[in-house]
Amino acid sequence: MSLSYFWVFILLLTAGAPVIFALLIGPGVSLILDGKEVFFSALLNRLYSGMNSFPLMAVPFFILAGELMNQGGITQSIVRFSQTLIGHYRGGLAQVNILSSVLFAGLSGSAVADTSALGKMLIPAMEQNGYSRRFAAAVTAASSVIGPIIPPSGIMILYAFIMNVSVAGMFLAGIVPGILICVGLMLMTSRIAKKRNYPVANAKATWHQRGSALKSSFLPLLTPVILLGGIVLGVFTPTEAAAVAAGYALIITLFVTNTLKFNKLPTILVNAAVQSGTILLLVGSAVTFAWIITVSGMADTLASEIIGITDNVLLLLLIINLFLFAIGMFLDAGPAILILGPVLAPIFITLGIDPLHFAVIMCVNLTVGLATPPMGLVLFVAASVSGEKTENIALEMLPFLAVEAAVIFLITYFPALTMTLPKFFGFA
Amino acid sequence: MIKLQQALFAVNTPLGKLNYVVANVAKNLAGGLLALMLAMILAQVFFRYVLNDSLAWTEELAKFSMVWVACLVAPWAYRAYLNVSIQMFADALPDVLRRITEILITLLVIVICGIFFLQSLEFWQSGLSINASSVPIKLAYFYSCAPFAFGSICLVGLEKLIEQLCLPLDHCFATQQDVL
Repeated sequence: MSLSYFWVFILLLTAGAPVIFALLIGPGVSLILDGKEVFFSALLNRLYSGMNSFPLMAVPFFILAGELMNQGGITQSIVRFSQTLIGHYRGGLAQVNILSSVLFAGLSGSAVADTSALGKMLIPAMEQNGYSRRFAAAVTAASSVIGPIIPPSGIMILYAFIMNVSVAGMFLAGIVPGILICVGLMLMTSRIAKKRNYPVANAKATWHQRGSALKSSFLPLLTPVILLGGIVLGVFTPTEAAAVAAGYALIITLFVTNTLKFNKLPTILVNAAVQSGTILLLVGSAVTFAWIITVSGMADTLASEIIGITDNVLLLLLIINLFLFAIGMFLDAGPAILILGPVLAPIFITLGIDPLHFAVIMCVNLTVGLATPPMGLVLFVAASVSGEKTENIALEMLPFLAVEAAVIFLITYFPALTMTLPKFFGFA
Repeated sequence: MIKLQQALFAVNTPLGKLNYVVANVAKNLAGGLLALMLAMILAQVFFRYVLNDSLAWTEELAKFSMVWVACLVAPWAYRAYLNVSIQMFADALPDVLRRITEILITLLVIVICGIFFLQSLEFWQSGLSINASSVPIKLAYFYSCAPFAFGSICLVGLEKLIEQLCLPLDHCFATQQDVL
């Protein structure tokens, strides 16, 4: 089979075609050019079976759980809790922004949801406290990439599905990189805050105030504990855990915190269905494309080309990290993982890299790409929420991006950072 | 030119209304199906751990529902430009070239979805004689989501194509008026 599908795909992608159609049109054109129209039915079968998967069902449930938490006004209680913990440090609100992102990551698993929810609340508050708008937006965007790294994570589920890696293992492997990014961003923020003399957010809270703030956010914050605990202890499958998380979010927002009204539910369900549906169709198309890549022998050709560059695995990892970072600048993490995962992962697994280790490198790298110009979804959301120009936010983000790049470097060359937890729990 | 434009608008107005109604109803149905999926999987967990009695049908039905959710959302996502794309290079093109590119892409989408629509009819037919493994329901009921998705995307594509064709006509018409 000719490789025309690949060039058609690239051409369509750069011409602005929706990725889902570029993934279908590329192979379609190739089949027509090669006179193999009979394989269209095989493409359709792949598309259908790509979506008809039980592990993949975790994606809509996590999206629903995130929507419920968002609409249920959980954000305020999380920010209040973060403020009582670290609001008294210099640059307090910026630090609160970062810590809230970590806590929020355990609920939504989406960088865009994180930017939107926390940005709407914290960017105006930071501005009122003397921060520049571009800095407030940059901190929000930079810290929100923690969302898909700390479990639960939509993109990790996608990777696990397409590469047949353990979801629980990936979730556990994401914890340390997420914390490292958080600590790195906080240190960088502290340095910038001292230099620019940013204010503290509030006086140091008493333990009683902290306890009271924790009380109002305790139940939502239990979500990742239930999730990870359930999966790691073997009580639920990841999909069931995602459903339990959605059910739990529904119960606490409707009946415990009373922050969600019944009449909002249809809108939330429809929003979650639309978001999930677009991702699922993308997954189906990517599975079809991945199949064509395998059938055409392109994966093998590419593998031998990449291995031909050098036989030094460490250097190859550096090259692949730079390549992924560049890809992340132009393409969303989800599609990039779905398209490149099946091509790149087998190469590095053959070279002796643990599948879980490579999975986390790829997911973290492409997630950071969400906040890099020129095509950074998180950057666009931060710009829209703050009203600041994208390029100004991007410039202000450079020190934070350096921190995130350093974390990618650390997790690449020190596998123990990602592999210790999954190994401890028997997932690697 | 004006007559052609009027004719295109005459076709596109009812087509746009039809597409909106279909996509909107389908989107709301998808929300309902998502709720059903959640209920089924929670019931599965409840029956297994609380009643110690595993339900055999929930997983399969929830999976089929999920595929239906994806297919029901397809026309809305396409119509509302919700599918991920890279617009940076296209935006850098001169206006005329960008419009031609858009038209070509829409044409390709219609053609490929048209081919998949025909294929999905055969796919649907293949499910007429087979039952799902855990419930006595013909697979054709589940497979029918594929012709729906591709058919509705074709119709939305047609609406977009007419819109895109009308835009240059507007431009041409305006230029002609300026000259006159």
